[in-house]
Amino acid sequence: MAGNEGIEKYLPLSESTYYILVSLIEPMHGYAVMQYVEAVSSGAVTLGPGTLYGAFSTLESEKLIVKVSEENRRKSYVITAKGRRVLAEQLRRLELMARTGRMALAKGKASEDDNE
Amino acid sequence: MSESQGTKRRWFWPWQDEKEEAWLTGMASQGAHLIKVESFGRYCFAQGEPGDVAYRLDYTPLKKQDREGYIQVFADAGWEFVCEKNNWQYFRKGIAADGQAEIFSDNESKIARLKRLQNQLLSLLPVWMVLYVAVTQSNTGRNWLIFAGALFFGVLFFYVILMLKISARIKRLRQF
Repeated sequence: MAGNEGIEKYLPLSESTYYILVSLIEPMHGYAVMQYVEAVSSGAVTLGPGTLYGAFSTLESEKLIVKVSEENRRKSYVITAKGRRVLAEQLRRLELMARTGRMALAKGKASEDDNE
Repeated sequence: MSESQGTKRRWFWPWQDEKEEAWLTGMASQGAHLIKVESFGRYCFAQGEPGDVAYRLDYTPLKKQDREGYIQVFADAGWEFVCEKNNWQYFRKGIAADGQAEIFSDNESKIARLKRLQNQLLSLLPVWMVLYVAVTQSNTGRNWLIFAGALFFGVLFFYVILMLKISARIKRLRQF
């Protein structure tokens, strides 16, 4: 796991932060991130402006995202290499959780069927 | 214009922000819309049509160069920036406009805001310490020393209450 030292401290990401990092695979400003996240989560995740601004400030100071441009007072950010490593590690954990959960539920379903 | 304006005094402690929001919403429903907040709890209102308006307070110490971008993020989400006082930002939005009337959409960011408030106020504590030491070392007479001492311990008491109140709120938010 070379290059992954110090990544642990950023995990687990909150749902909002996870979606923000996913959005910033391409450069985007705050309002675009709000719209994108709402769309890809089918409206399940909405980002308030306070939540978004706070996350941008924190992620920028942790160097997980970086400012790329500024237009009409809207700053655009993009994920950094470090941000990608954090996102990849979070994704690995989520996949492990999803797989474990699916297996447990499938087993539970099988024993339910046996009892019938 | 001056006839349709008014001021009102009302004191809110820093941990009473939700009470303050509710009060401002109540004022708006009577047609008094916030213009600015001045020192010692002096609120300036413009008299107009009564409205269903949500007020929300953020606490973000902003650098001068970040202010415009910050306000723009809120504006894009439909929140009007009203004013700023001591790092508190006042926003409002017509409730009828849409259902979303929160500037923070998760508990993590609500906790982060409370921590900003705690950290900023804690960073001022050494200033009070230095002032107190300066006064007690300056041989300015007994009455003055008593006054300075009372003031200092009053401030210290305020800090303890503030930290306890805010910590309790953070704890409550963490339970969800």
